[in-house]
Amino acid sequence: MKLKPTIKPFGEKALLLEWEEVISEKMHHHIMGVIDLIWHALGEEVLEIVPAFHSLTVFIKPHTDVSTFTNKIKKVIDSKREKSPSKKILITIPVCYEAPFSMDIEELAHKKNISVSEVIRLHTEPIYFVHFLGFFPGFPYLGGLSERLYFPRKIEPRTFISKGSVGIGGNQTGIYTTNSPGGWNIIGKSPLTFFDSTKNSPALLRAGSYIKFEKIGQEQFREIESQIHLGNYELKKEELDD
Amino acid sequence: MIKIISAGLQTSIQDLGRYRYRYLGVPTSGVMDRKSAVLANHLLGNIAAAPLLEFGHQGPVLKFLDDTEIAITGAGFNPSVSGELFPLNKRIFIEKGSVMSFGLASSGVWAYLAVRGGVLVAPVLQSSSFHPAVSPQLSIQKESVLEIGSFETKLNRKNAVLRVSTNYFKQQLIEVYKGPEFESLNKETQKELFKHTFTISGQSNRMATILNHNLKISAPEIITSAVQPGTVQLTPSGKMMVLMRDAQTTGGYARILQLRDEAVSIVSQIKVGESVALKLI
Repeated sequence: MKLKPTIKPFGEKALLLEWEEVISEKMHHHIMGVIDLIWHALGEEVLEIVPAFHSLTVFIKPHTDVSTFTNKIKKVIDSKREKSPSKKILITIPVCYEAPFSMDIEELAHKKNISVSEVIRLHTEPIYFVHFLGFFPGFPYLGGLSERLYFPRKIEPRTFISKGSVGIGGNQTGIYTTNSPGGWNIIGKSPLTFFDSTKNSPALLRAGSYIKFEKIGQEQFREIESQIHLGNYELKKEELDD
Repeated sequence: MIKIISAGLQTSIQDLGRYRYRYLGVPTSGVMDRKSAVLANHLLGNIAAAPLLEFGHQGPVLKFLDDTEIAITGAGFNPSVSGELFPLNKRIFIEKGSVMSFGLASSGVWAYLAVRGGVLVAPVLQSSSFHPAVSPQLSIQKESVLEIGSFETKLNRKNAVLRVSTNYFKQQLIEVYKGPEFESLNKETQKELFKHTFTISGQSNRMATILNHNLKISAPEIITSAVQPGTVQLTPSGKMMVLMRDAQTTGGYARILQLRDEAVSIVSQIKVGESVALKLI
């Protein structure tokens, strides 16, 4: 992995740092390390930083001059850093793969020439990695979908998909964290709340989280839903070994 | 307090935006036309970021439950109370019990109604801007009642009325920077972008303004990366759009150009069917 990014201006008040086109956990950790470094050295001048698969975008404060800042950031990313790896946390996401939540699972199984239970098995087997959040509030860009489940997006996107829905689009799987229109094939739904702006920590998932989907039935879905409503649901979290 | 008799179309409470949460996928939101919104607050001596009412296309009907000082800026609506017209871009006094309507806009798209002291709501993630997925609790409906805040105001004679050029809404040349993927477009496409005009599509909204064209231009998808208000995306099928204030935080289409913040305000006020040309800064 080449560790030197290209630095491009992105409008008058942002800089884009791009690394080679690699999507990996290693790349993620490198980018998060650089973000720490920028906050530490230049935080006064920074408004916010948005990481993505192989890039980060630094939005600078109105009074910060972009060309001076570019020079500073070049020095900062050249400096030596040691980032101690943070703990790996695995979050279990319960998903009901049954009707009426799984509108597209039968079509997907049929076209892939596998059984519905095989789709569920392949989807609940891996540990997925959250590369970053984006697109809409709390939405995780996940790595780790089994190639056997790659399936093109729907040609006509649906105008409404309810929050918690779990879908597959191309080589990605993900969770609709808020109600939205969308073109992914819906294979199930999670009763969890993934984004709540009234909380101090509004997004359930974070860049760098690991997640696993766990199959639940309708009854359990309702049960968890009501526990969440009452505020006594305990999220399943465990520490992962390296 | 102000009571919403009818919400109109696209009426919402906005301020200058919600920042520092983009890493969680939270759009910045905020007023579409910053210049007009800041002016409305300025006329009343409010701070620039005081929350105000934004509306487009068809204005709301409002009942003022107290004597209120307001200022209306932006699109060329015709605010009136019982047939009496009130001017735009001026501090005006509205008597308790008045019912104000706005008619249709003769120019521009978005209008702003600021009240002295600001519209008061409980901020969501440090901003009073409405966004359907982030701050649904700030939505405005028929029968909603808006509280008025007590943000410090500094009134003076000088800012009571300002002359505002409506040419602002007719500007057709939009200044742009090269976007991150501009250099990867072929030379022909690069030239085409600045030789032709683009028409504002009726599908435009607070998330994006679609630029219709009949050029043979396109760009391959990219590995998903950050976008921002003012980013011009070009898709593999040739669809071109300017991302606006409620834009998603990341996207997978080529970011070919980037508008300055001022130009985002200008584009927001251009009506459907009108055309724009692009010019490199």
